[in-house]
Amino acid sequence: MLSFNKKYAVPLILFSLVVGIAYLSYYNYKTQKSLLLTQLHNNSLNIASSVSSAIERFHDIKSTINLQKLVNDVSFGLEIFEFRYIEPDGTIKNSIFRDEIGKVLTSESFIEATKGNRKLNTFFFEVRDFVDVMSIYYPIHLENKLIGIIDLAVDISEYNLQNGSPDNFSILRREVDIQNLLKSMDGSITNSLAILKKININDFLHAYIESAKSIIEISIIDADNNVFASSDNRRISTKIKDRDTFESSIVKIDGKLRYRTMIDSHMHENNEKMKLLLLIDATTYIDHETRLFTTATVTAVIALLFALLTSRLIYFSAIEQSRSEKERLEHLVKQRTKEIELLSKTDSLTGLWSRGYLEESLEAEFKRAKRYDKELSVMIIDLDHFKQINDTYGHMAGDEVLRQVSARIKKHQRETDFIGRYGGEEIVIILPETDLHTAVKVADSIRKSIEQEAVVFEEQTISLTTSIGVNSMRSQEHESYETMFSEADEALYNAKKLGRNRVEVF
Amino acid sequence: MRVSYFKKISAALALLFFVNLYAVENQRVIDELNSPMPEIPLKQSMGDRAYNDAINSGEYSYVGNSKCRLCHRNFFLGRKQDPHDHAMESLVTSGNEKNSHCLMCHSTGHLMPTGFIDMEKTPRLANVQCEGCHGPGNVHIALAKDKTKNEVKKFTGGGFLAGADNPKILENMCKSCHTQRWNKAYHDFEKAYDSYKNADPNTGH
Repeated sequence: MLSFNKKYAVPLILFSLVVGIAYLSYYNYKTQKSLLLTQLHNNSLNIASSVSSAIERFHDIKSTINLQKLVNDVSFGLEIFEFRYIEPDGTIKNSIFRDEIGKVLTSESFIEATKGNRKLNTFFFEVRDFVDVMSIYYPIHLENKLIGIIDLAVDISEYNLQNGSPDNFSILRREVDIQNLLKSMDGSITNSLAILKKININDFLHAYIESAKSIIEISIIDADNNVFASSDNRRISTKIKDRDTFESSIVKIDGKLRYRTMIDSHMHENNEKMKLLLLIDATTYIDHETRLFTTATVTAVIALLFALLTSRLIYFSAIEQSRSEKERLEHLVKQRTKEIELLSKTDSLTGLWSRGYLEESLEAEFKRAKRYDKELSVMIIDLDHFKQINDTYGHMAGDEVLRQVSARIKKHQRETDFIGRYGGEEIVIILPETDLHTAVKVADSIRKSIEQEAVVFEEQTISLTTSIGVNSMRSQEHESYETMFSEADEALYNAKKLGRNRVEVF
Repeated sequence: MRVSYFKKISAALALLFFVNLYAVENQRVIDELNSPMPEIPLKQSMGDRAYNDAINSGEYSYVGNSKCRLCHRNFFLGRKQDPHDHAMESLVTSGNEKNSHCLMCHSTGHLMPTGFIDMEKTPRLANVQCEGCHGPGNVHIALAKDKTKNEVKKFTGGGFLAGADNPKILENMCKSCHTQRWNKAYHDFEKAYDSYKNADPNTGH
């Protein structure tokens, strides 16, 4: 499992990186997309509110003037007592008393006025609601036709309380003020009505969408799902089927993409249930969306390519690294093996000292003997025809022979002697404080003991002999142990040449 | 003959009764004018401190009852037939129309900022009007106009120093003028207040 992890860690990390980046760019795309939609919806809300307020202005004009507001705003100090806008048939269209709007005015003076018994646009005094007032019925004409009457009354009770009869001068002044007010109202009412007559709401909506390029259609829908007004004449009076389950969405109409939404109008109090249906050009939205999607895809692909390239590079560099590391290790192992061989003191096969240690010892003994002027001998024992033994009985037998011969030589070892395997079938004995004569004796006894007793290996008897070269240190001649050793080797060579199984001295 | 004699007697008796009644009425006026100057009714009802805080803030001013009529037209009609709305008349006939002692209870907001001064300067606050009992009405009107301040967007009243939301102060307002001496309109306050509040606009009773 661990090795699996190690092996696939890098590809896994890269893969998750790619997945992560791809997910992030997708997420980004989604967020931006919904942001775009929200923006579109907010735009339509703004449009709806401006359309609503424009339509509300229409209603304001239609109801002539908000009289209540006007009475409050009038700064003439006129003490307006009653104020109505009445249609010629007596229906109260607007009044400072809201609850009487829509009813028919039945006051005596008004009936007189409509019957022609009282002159219009003339001030007169009367009592209304127990209060002395000065009243006027002011006619409104549009194109020489009577379209309405303003009924205005001001409180003049204080003049009566003051001295019993109206003060002519102040009354006159008030009459002028009121006339001015009525004239200005007349102007605004006739203007509004004239505009209203010329413009209808459908034309207004049509003009609105003409001025705003991205808006395709505006329709006003009433509570019964009928299209009440629309910028598109074909739509008027048709029915919207899915008003209640309507969802804002992008739809295809006549092969073009449109954002379709329905918004509460927040219009006039009486039109609370009216809704606005908006169609907005969605092609720019789609453009944006496509661009966003392309960006997201390109990001993901680039991430993928980058990851592939990186993994490829990592793979190659890893292979290169492992190859050089392997070479370095092999080299190191070889070197170490050699070092170990040299460092080890004993020979693993025979249990004798190793060649390295043997040479160290010979050098040390040589130096000591030379310094203290002592005797030192060395002998080299070589098994005769050892190669034949190996060839005849096998290497295992050869090894066994070496082991037994070594053991037998060890028996002749004195306490201070060093016996070591010099290599192959050569065994070297260092004999400190031993003269040549004694050394030859030892060598000869060794030779004899080996000749006398054959080695038995796996029920086979292997007879063998040895040739031995002996040499002793001569202080004046020998500068180093190497010379002394090579002389011993020469003596061994002589023994071999002179017929083997014998001891020779240099 | 007998009939005319009877008539004479009854006329004399009636004359005696009315003369007596007039004498009693007259005596009350004399007593009132001899007694110390009464406190401003609103001040008396609210207590000095609350009154001073409210009036000195400058937020309150009198507007006159024709403004009240815009919304409370029926009540306005009813009050027009109520003695409160004719309170100045008795002062005019008795020649006391400039006497602050009397005007305190016979006009609207006398001796208060923006209140009644005299018939020349402030004819529109003569008599005991709506604001005579409820105190200055401008705040009430401002609240009524600005319905958005209200959560239900429907005006629920308020804005008076002595409004229906302060029944104790309102009761004090009635009692500050209808004292022991002038308590001719009612004996049971609750009953009188109720009938006044729900009066028929056509008769005022």
